[in-house]
Amino acid sequence: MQKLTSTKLFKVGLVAIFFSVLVFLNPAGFFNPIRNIFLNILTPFQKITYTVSASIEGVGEFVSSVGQLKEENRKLHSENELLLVQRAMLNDMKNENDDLRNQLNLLPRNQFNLLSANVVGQDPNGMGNWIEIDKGSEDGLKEGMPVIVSKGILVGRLSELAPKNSKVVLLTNPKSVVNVSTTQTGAKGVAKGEYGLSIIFDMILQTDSIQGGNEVVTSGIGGGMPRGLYVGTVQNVHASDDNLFQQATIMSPIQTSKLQFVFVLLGSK
Amino acid sequence: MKKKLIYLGIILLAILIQTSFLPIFMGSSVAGDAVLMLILTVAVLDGFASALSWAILTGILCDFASYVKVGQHVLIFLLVVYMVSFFSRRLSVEVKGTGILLFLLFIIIATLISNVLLTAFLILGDGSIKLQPQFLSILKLILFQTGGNAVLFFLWYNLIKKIKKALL
Repeated sequence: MQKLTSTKLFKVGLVAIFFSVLVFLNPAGFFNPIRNIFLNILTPFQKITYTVSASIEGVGEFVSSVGQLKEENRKLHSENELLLVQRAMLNDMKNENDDLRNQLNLLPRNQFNLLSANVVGQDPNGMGNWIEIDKGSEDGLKEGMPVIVSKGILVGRLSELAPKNSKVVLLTNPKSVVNVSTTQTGAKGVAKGEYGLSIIFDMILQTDSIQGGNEVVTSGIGGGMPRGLYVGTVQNVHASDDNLFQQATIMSPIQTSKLQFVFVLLGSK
Repeated sequence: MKKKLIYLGIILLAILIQTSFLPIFMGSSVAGDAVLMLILTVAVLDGFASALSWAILTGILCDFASYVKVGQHVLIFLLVVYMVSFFSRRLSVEVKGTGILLFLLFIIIATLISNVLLTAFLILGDGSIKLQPQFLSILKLILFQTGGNAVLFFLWYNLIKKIKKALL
């Protein structure tokens, strides 16, 4: 018996059983105080490491892309001309929209209280499903708050909060579900993460019109997420497996591995 | 004591590299696993008894940093430590000749163990997740990860060997 208990297999087995039980029982919140202490210590170092690596990556990317810059510059010039025309049209529409909103006593859109946060970490397990930011419950954050970049591109939602940092579940996370609609046709559905790689626009009624290139924004249905946050553009549209709905892939403009700053949407002003 | 503090520092460094450095360069889906390779290195250089306790501590810290249930990384690291111990008793573990092939085998098996268990935990954690068996893309991903892990392993191996030499 003594010989058995001193074997490596026995020791490994014993520890493995203990931690397997721990994983399956998952005592919610039991380890949170220790986890919070550890994360508080780690976060400042993560911030430095993340900034340094982003800078190095930026330099590397610049060097490798010099050849493409000329062509890209030419493309951007022509895009810029197009955007100038579109901006003029949009300004006109904005004025018209403001007038109509005033007449209907509606609150202005896109005026939110934002809290900026640094990205300090990413999913280390290679699933690309979440990022970590350096703001937490001490900064007034709550679970479920939307996280955006560039004034309105949706990144994900706050999921687990520690006092000084939080986990943001990205739109590509299989657990992420957001109500969305297209700006052009008003087709409604839900944006769900798939395999941690892409975003699927699901539950679109067969009668709704949707096509590649349509812009997808949050619909605001169900609460918790304001209307009009940009999610991405529709790629390919196809019928769902059961043929009851239409499905589409959404192309997000965000490269999560390059995110350095995000904004948490605290609420409307 | 000095060695323990240095090892603790290296573990924290590996966790920092894993969460805040590698995903930016390589994209989170193909990044190597710095912490896993550190445990593999410790198991190769320090033997079973020492590596077991470091595997448990590192696993718990890694679980904290990854926002996952406590125990997941511990189980992965335990299997890796046992695998190294199992082969080391039977075969010569050195960075020369056929020993290099054995190291590569360790790296491949450790990468597979990590991928399989992490996917299993993901499915068990959320039954709604569907995983399509896209074998080619999975194989490509594991090949990339193995390559990255091989580089990381040899970096850790040389660093820890030098530290051990300096401490003697």
